[in-house]
Amino acid sequence: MSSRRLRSRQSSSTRITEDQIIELVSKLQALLPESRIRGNDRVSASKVLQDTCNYIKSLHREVDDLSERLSQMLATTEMSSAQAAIIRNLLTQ
Amino acid sequence: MHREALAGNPNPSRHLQALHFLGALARINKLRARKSPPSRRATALGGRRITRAAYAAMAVAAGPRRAWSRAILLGLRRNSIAKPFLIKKRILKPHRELRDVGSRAEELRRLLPGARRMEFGSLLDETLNYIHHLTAQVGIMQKIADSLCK
Repeated sequence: MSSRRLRSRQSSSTRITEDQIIELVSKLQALLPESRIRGNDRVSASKVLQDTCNYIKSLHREVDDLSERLSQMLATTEMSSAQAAIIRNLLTQ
Repeated sequence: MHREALAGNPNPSRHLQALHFLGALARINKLRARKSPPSRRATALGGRRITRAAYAAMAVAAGPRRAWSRAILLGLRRNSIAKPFLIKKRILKPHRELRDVGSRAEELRRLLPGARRMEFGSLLDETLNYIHHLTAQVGIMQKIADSLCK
């Protein structure tokens, strides 16, 4: 029986405290692309969650698009010749 | 138990993710090479296979400690395309203009694999980790696409 709301019933066995939730929400806010514009201004938890959902959806779309692109590129390019370059590219962060 | 503690590498999980994905890509490419010439249908199928490989790479890098990665690995083992994020034209419930955190959390639970019944605090924690790996995956795929372009 788990409560889903932010103000969950405080039982003695609550694993995650409200402070920790506040911290998690601000960490999420920092990840969002909007935070580059907003800076560190506090945004409501509801807005952070909304933006997070939109962000995840856009990332899913990006993965789909990139998969399409890679699929088409692999059909036309010989991958084995590019492998060394790819690996080098990937492993230098 | 942290991978980061084991390797001298600052970001071993990201490298694991990249290499796992690259290996899957090579396998998919090999499969495709057998069936030539490539049809349009084959390309579309390849796209879906690559998408699956992308999420598999993320899940492997995250390890079994996360509900979302377990959900993905389980779904892949059942050889089914995980529905929440591979069916594009999914009709969600009508979007109500509520500011309620609860309804936002519900939407997040639908987006995140394995999060249906998750308690709120864990949901946020899982989301952070999921986004971390998701953005890493986008970066990996982008780099590969760039490399293949040259």
